[in-house]
Amino acid sequence: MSVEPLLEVTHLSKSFRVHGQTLQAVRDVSFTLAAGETLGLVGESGSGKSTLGRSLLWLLPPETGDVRFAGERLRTLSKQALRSRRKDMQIVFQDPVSALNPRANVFRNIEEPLLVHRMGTARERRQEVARLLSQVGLQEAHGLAYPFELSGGQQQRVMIARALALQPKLVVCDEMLSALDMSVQTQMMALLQQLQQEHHLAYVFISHNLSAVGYLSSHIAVMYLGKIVEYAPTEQLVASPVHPYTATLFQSILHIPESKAARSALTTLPGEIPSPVKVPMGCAFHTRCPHVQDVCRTQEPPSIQVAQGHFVACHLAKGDFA
Amino acid sequence: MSTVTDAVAYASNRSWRRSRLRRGFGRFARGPLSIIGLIWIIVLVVVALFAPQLAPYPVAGDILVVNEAPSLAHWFGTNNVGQDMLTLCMYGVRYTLTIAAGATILSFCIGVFVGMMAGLQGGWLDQVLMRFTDFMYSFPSFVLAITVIEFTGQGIVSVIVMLGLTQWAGFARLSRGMTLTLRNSELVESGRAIGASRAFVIRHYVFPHVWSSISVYTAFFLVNIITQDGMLGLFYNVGPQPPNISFGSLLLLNTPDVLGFPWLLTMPVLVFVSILVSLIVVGEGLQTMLSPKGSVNL
Repeated sequence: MSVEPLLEVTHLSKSFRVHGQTLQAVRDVSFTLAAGETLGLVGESGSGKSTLGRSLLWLLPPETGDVRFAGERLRTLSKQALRSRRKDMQIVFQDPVSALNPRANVFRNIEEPLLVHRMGTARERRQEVARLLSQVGLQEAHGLAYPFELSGGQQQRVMIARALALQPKLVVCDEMLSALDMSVQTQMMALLQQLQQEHHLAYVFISHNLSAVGYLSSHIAVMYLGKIVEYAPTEQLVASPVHPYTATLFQSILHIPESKAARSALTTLPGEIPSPVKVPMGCAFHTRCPHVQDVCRTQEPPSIQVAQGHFVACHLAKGDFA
Repeated sequence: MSTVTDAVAYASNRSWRRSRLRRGFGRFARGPLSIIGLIWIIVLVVVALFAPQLAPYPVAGDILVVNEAPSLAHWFGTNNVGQDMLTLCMYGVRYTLTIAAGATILSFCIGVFVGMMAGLQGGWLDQVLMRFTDFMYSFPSFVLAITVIEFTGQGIVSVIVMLGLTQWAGFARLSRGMTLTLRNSELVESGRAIGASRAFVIRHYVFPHVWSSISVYTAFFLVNIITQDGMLGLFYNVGPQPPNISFGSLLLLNTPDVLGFPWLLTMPVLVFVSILVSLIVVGEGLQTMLSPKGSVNL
């Protein structure tokens, strides 16, 4: 336990100015991630998952809080130092079509990170790209194709190869499954697992696909309106979710019923996630919470530990577990 | 095994560039007009480069052959001081293309620089640069050009500089727009994510994107510059020193005699218009080549 974590996010907040108003995308988020482990980030659209992913990579520098990556505080790094640090932390985007360079073929797209960091001779880079292509399950001949000529799954493989080219320690996967169909999603997850074992990679796996997150992650953080409302090891969270939001979120996972009679009524949360421009007073979830009490409307619940490594920010949790 | 290594070797270095160019040219070549236009422009460029060597007669003219109709000896006829019209037209092409290329390159550089700066930096710099661009867009730059040429003299260089310095607003607007669409894109973000410097992102992601949309505009911009230069010669008698001659001055010079000797006007006008038409046609070919319908890899 005394081993220093690979990634340590402390009190990170990020907001945007939108039409003169402040949109609080990420509010005071802290967590740690050890090398070789996976943190699953789940939550509805607009909960700040992607912003958090980009902020912790310093692609969207947060206003307050800091990120300690492999012992270095990112806020203290110069532009130059940060650029060279990026070798160790990569991101796989949701939509490879817009994140890959459409004017360059696959070969060049994967070679680009190596070019940027002036690694190897042309010959070595060529061999490296060939190796990466086979590692992500593509043919070397695919290197000649342009991104738009590939299928969605192949494009995402190229995106992964590009992220792996610099041999990172951490990869943020931002909704990388959402554009793919089910069988390809499974292939991607198998690939991610295999790569994690081979390279001892740490993932921050952002997704609204709860089954996939449960399958890949060692820990899960549930986000609601920019805050982590519950954080726990995967088994713990799935077995005994404490926060009412987590509970409803897990109820929304559909299982194929065995018979027509076995179909249970679908439970949904009332209403929509409130606008991050006007975050509700007190607990942000109180507008939709089935167990709402007076204290929830006025006081923001602190994050408390309800079991070993299991943190919840909910007023009700106190009575049950503390 | 050998096919795999072949493929990788093929993908290396520049060969993928070539294959892409070939595909693009295939689309360009689909329109026969574009090809004809391109060939004609190449012919004109050769004429422009070697006008002194290719011209059949000296510019000075021969007083014994005044106002001759087109014949085998003088294809385009001669004018009232015995100058061979074909020779004059060749020098006209030489002068016109020099002006067009020079002023376009200058405008392109200024406009794309201003536009990309504004688009990338945003904020107050964007505001200042674009207001200045609007000013240049609406200012009667032609008047400014003429005034300055009066002071700097009528050399080729001053015409290039004046047209170049006053006509760049369109380039700036277009490239700013294209840059803005890219600035917050995932493409630029993925460039930053791999640790690319600002310069790398601009050179490899932003500029190629800007260029793909601006190349068509450039073809039409050439047309505009040539027309403007023609007007400078025709209406304001601003042009180069002999032996160079602009089409504008050529028309101005010959206009008094045109009733009796129509070839003095028709021949230069035909050449002049052929330059413009082929540029337009090539521009349209480029458009087909680069349009999303012709190709997905814009």
